[in-house]
Amino acid sequence: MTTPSTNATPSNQHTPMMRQYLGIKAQHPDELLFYRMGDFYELFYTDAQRAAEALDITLTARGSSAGEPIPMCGVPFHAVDTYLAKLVQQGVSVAICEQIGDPATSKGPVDRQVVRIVTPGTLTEESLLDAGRDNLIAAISTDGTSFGLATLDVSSGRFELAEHPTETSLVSELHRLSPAEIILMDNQEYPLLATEHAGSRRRPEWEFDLTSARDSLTKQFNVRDLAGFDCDDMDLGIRAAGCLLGYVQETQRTELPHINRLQKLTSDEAVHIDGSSRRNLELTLNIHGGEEHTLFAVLNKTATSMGGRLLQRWINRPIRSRQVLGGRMDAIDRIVQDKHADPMFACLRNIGDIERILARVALRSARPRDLARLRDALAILPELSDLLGAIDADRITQLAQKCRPIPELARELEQAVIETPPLLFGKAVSSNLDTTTSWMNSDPLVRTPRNT
Amino acid sequence: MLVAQLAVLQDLADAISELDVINTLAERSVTLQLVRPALTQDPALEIEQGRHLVVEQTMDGTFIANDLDLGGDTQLLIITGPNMGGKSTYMRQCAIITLLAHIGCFVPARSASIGAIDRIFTRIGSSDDLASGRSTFMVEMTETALILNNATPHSLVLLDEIGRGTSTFDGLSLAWAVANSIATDIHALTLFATHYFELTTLPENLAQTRNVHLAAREFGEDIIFMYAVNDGPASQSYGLQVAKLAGVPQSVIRIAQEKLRQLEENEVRMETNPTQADLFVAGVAEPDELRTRLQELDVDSLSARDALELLYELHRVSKE
Repeated sequence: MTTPSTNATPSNQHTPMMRQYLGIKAQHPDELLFYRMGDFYELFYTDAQRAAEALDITLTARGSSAGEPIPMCGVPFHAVDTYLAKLVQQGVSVAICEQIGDPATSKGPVDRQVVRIVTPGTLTEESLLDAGRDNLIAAISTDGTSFGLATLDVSSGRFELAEHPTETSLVSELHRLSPAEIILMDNQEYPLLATEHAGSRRRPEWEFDLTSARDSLTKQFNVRDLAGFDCDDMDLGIRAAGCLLGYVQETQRTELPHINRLQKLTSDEAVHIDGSSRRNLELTLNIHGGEEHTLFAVLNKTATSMGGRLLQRWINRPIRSRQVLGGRMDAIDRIVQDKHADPMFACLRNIGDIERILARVALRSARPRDLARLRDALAILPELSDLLGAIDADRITQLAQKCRPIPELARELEQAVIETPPLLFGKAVSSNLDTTTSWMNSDPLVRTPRNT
Repeated sequence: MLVAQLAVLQDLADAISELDVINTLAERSVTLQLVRPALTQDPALEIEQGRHLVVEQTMDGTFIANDLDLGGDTQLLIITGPNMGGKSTYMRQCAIITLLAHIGCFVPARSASIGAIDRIFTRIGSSDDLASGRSTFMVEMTETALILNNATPHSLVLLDEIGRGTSTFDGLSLAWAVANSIATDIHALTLFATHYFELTTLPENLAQTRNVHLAAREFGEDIIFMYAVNDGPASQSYGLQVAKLAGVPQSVIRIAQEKLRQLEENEVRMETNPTQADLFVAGVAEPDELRTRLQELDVDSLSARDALELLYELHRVSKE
């Protein structure tokens, strides 16, 4: 797709560096390849032309290789997030290629490797995400009649699967989820979907293979089979989930320890609301597509953005279980009766978006400020526990058990992270936090490549 | 150490998110004056003095609260009343109250009892689906088909102006058939807003249906919306008053009033004539050219040749 114009040229006529570039680019034909050279990420050939247009930056040329000038453009590494944000908004994926060797000791071009692929549906960087919304990627398998749907929020680890008997019910579910990226099977027809989601991408059928899907999922969750997730018989759902996990592993190129459970969604637990009804009732979007004057806008006074995202999920998927609903209402009743709402809010406001922070910790891309906010959250837990202890409702008691203070970890973060750290790693983390030193890096995008 | 405790910390994040939401809903129930609904298993909705949470926030005056009693004896409410009179808001508020109860939230009402609902369907509004190039009527019928094929006795169905996108005959027939099918076969809890007054006769034959209307009062040529839901069908549609309110020029309103008077007289005449019982042929019949010419014809004075030519011509005219 972005084959250089020099494709026909024998590779030995290129400079060694361009030979390396073209070798890496050949493995990433669909993504823009951000090729690290010192303080810049450079793009060449048609990638350069696409990026110059999409980012509105100057297209230049870099000498020539194999007798032809090489179109080139570049972005400074320290500002890369801004450019990535613009590209993913346009649905463009980017392969980040870093220098992994030592330039001083290398003969010829320094070793380089793609350390991560940035795609619209697999973002985890705070600067690239909308704090108010989930960012989902979905994969859809089909046997020609029914459909398997798997969705994953890489920025939280939430991994869900379901099966749909008709494309209509699938489309309705996708309307509820509105994923940023959708993976479809090659050579399969999705007539209704095609009109609704133009920005989907196709993957070959073998990536949806049932046996390899079971293998990779059980390996990821470190279990013998999927019975523990109550989805062992959902072949179509498992095929979609397997493909999705493989795709995300390929883009992240690191271990994904925060993806540690699989949630089965069944249709009889929810109150269904189809896409047009959702629009008509103006639940999270108004009739003009805006966010004001919606039910969500009136209700959302949450203290944390992860709470806001959960409220949005609740509104988008009402449930039928009288027991769960009664539990929530009992809790609301107690908080109202005993006037706990204000102190609770004041306490919760000190807690940042730890859901997404934890995903970055898991992916080894956490930044100093992430650790500082996690430290602040852990520091407030004793106070939160006291507050919760005074609220006499079953659901609150259950939740309180998960909010118990973790003093050792709190102390360790207290000592390791300076009061107000800078944006990037440098002197932010004192050296005595042994386990965090492995993420200390001056470069936000560098990750330890996975040993394969 | 952090990674080792990841699962515990993820549980913590989940718990804090939920505490945040529950606490927010608690604060909202105080600020927005919400009450705890009773949750029941029957397919029934009882709402006393329900409000529309979003509309209530955006308006200056007092929001007029309304009741709903659906389920048991009454499964389908026919809602009539003037445009802009509050039919859509009333229907939406009933759906939103039902939805709020099913996320565990308190509801904007004086009291409410909410049964187990499996799906909420709405067919409201009439915007063309520009993206896929489908017409208003096609969108309307696609959504109606979805409802008829999937609704159950535990579903809440809102239908607003079914049949508006096509001709009067087609529209009324479809609306009638849809209401009938829902009331007799599907038994879904249904709010059915319509401007076809003919549908207000449904309760005469179907005991599980009932009429309610949004009240309005006339002051001369002007209209005041009461926004209150009352029993029985609306007495009239106040279309001209609404048009005047919307700024349609006085000259046009005058002509409309004159036409309306003609039509109503015509309708009364037809109603008294049993052979022309069709209510919907509104308008004076065009004089028939063929009949007129035949009546005026002096048959005896025609030659055989003229008669043949005339026969050909009348045949041609009849085909136009």
